[in-house]
Amino acid sequence: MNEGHPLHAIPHDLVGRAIKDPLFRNEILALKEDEDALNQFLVEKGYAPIGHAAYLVIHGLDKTDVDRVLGEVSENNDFLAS
Amino acid sequence: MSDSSTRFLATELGPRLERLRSSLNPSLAELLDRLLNRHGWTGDWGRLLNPLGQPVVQLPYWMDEIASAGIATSVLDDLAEAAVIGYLHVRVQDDLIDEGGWPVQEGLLLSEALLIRHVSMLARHAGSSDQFWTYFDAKGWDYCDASLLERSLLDPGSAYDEAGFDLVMRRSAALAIPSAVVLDLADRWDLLAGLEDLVWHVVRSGQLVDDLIDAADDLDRGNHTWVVRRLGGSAGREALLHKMGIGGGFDEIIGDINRDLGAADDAAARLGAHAVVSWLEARRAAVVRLQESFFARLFTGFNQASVDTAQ
Repeated sequence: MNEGHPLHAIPHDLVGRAIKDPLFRNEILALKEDEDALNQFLVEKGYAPIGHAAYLVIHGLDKTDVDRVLGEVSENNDFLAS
Repeated sequence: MSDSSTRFLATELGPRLERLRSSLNPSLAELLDRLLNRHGWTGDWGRLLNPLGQPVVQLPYWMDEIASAGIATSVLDDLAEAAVIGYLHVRVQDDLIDEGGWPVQEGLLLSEALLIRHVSMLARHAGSSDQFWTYFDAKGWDYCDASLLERSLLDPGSAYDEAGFDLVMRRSAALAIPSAVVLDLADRWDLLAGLEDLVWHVVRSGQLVDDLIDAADDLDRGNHTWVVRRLGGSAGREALLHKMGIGGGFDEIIGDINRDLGAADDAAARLGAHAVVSWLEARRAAVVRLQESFFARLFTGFNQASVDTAQ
């Protein structure tokens, strides 16, 4: 395990659920400005609280990330527009 | 049937386009080449079958199966060609109007040449059927009217709501035209309402996918689509990206897409369209992949974290 990595405290199953479960991820994203509330939500859902460094990763998600992702998704979906 | 569509794309479309190209005078043939190159259509037509795209090629084959019409393969292939050429005609117009992608004279005249071919391919089999040509007029003029309306609604100063979106969607409903020839040949106009219901929800869900992925680009081009507005794009690019990725906007539009897919499922079931049901399943799976890949990419840092955790 890479103990020095600031992100290592985010459990794999939490990531997987955030990708697959829209309600769950939208709760997380809605709480990204409030570390305590986010951790409380995670505990209620049966996860361990995430550390501050991991929280900062979620907190840091912004329009730049969305812009990059949108470009990648667009490039990888070549289909006929209406 | 998808097998027929696959065969058509693998063995028919290329030679048919080449015959069209060799029938045109050199200047128009050069414009056609430019169109095909512009969109990367230079041999691999497989993406015409991408379930996130519109079923341009499949529809005539589907309707033959639904109507148990038993129409000759060569006729269905002609109608599939008419559908593809009609699509290219629309593509030129969109390139011209949305993006200024052609010098006006060239775009206009290439579009005209393709429309002529589209109509002549339909006429080979629709003959002098009043019912078909009345339908063709209505759908064709709906397309024009909806395109005009769209130009005004895309203006940031206008109000563009769901009702407006549905009026604009009449552009894509013209996709049913080649399949209406199948109904005419089989004397099965009783299936028209079912065909239109199916096409409506299929193209609506597809348009929402397209508008979702293109939302930021549309905003950059000044095209304030209904999706752009729902994502807060009227307040600017940053607001749109925030709403889309952080504020639940991407999932909200996906929810709408899935509702249309559900309605399309119902329409296909009423028609007894087994091939369509399979295609809709593939589209639904592709929408799920799109949604998950969007957030998997957004959470790239999280994924790295989970890899580290697993080590």
